[in-house]
Amino acid sequence: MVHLVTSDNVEFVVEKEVVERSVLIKNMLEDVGESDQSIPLANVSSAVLRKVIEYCEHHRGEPLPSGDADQNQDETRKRTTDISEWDQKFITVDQEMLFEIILAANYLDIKSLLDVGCKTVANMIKGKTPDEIRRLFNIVNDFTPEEEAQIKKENEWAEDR
Amino acid sequence: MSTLSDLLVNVTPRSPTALVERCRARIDQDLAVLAESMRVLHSCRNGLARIFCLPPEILVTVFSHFASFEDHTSTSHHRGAPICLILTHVCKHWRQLVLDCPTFWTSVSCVSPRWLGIMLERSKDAHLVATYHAPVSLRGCLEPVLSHLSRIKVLKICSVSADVDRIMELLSLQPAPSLKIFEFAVIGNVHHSLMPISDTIFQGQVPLLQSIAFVLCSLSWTWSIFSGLRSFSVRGTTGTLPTLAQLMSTLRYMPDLEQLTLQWLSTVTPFGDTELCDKVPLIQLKSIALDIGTPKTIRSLFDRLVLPAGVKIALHFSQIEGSQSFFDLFSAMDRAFGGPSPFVRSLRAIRISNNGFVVQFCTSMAFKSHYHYSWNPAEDDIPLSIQFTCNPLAHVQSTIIFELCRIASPRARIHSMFLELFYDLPEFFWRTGSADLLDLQIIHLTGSRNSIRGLIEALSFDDTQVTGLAYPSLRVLELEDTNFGDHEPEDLQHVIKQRAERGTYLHELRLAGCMKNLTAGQVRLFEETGVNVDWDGHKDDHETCTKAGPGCSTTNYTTPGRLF
Repeated sequence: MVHLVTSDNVEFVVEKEVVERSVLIKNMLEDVGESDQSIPLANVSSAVLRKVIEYCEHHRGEPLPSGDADQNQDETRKRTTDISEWDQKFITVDQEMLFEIILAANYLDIKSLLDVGCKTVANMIKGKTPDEIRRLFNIVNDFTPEEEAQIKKENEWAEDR
Repeated sequence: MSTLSDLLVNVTPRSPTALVERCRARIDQDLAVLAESMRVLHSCRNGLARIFCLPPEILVTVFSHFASFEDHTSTSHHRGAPICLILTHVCKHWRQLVLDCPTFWTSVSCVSPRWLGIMLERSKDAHLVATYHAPVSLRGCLEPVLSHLSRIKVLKICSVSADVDRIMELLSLQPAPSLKIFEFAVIGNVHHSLMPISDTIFQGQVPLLQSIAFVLCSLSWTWSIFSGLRSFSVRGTTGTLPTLAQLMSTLRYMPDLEQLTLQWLSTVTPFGDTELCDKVPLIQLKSIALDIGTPKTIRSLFDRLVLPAGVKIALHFSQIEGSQSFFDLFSAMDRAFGGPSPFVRSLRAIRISNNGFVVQFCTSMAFKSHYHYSWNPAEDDIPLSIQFTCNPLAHVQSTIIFELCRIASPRARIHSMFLELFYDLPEFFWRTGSADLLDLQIIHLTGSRNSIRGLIEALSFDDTQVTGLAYPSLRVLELEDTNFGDHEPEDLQHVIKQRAERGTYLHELRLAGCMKNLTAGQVRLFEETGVNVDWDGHKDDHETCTKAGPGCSTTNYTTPGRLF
């Protein structure tokens, strides 16, 4: 078993097989060897780690994505909608939690979870206008007049028939 | 320095022009400063939006997934603008991220010269995915793109025949050192002979090419530059048809081939019986789809190939020559394989009509694919798919399906059979198959419009029968969009009972979209035989059935009309 301590000082005891879906922790365990010492995760809160562990438990035993997959990413882009049913339910959380999960997956180096998170955000953007995207993420238009003029031109060219 | 308020005291529109102009300029200057302050504040506000906690590299990953939608949606309504253009119109930070990443600008569809220029500039030196579809101007769109041939990774051209020669000239002007995928299709009527695709294309230098697909192109069939290909697809030709010897010569340059598709080449000249040719090993091949003539032609090809075990084979014949030709073909396929063929467990006969059949064998109990008229099984675990279009006058019997099973034996022990009909099967059909399909556990029948009398009679047993019970392993019967004839539900119920008495139990009866001559009462009769019935029912009968109370057959209600 592996002991993990979150940023809000909550300790989790997790099976090694589960937690090793994190490349970061797997490498740490390989470096340190067998130890009862807790691993501090200063960038991850207990609420987020609970979700991350839920994901890792569900996907335990599945092969980890290889490095080659990254290299060929642009050639073998998978459809963004390709998120399994379980993963979709798992990632149906509010925006704050979604982004925290993505950050945690990035920090802990869990590629498949990072992928699910990024695809989910991409799906949220899909089919929306810039105005709708701004509203979705509470962003405001901060373009300079010059940029506005350029954007206007680009829109005209895109609509031009 | 005086403030704007000081300056404006006593200034009216009737003040001296110079003074008014000075005030106006000052106001404009202050407005600009305020606008810039507001913009900066807006940017600061954006910095507090939750999504801004994601670092740039993660946002770029999100945007990459978003951009991948472009592969699956038409961009023609954007006049060649990339889908990620939307992202550059959201806020300053996102715009900068997308503009700084050349890969978002590499999918160049030659639609608008204006966007083409922007894409080529913003993609910097990144590899390009270029698509050209006639009738867009060659000079305005394709020519500027082909001037970047050295960095094109994927090139897909669909041209009218009148432009083919010019395009061939352009493609022969320089090497294509980055090209991995090349597709060239010719559309429209061809009124003159076209310049063939030969070794002069790309000046003979295309070292990374892995996949080519030609549709109705003129081809020289004497290439040496297309060595190292993993996928080779030719669908029709407007030039000379190759002889089988030329085909073999072409394949000899492609030892790493994984996918081979030759379609609409149905008059390929076969080898003479005594013609010698060294065997061509294609030991990496995963799928082969052939539509190059009769079973004899394809047999002639297989006789000269060495293939690894497990290659998926899809064959199309425009005419067939009886079951003996299939026997010879299967023997040739066996000889071509380096190991035993995969064991097939399912048979799918789809589009059975008066003039065509598709017969597919599958290694699983059920088919994953729903391509009801596909003959290319590359995406499914279908090791063998055979399609033949028959001359309506040829009167090919539907029972040829069973002949194929017999010929495929012993590699075929069919456990499930899926039939999709476009005409009612003759009554003797099911009786004919009973001798060949002793392991058959599942029958799925779709589209029998008028009657299933032949099936009921084949399943029945009478004491005078000298042969054993037909389909002795049958456990599941699925009828979809199939209508019962008069009294057939009662007769089927009787047969189920009769088989049960002889120890051959039907476990499941699934009925979907069976609208005619089937009532809730009759469905209840099926249940009384001990079989589990899954019936979608139709509205009226569903109500009747509900009123009938427990024991009625809607317990496993499924979506009407679809069992899979």
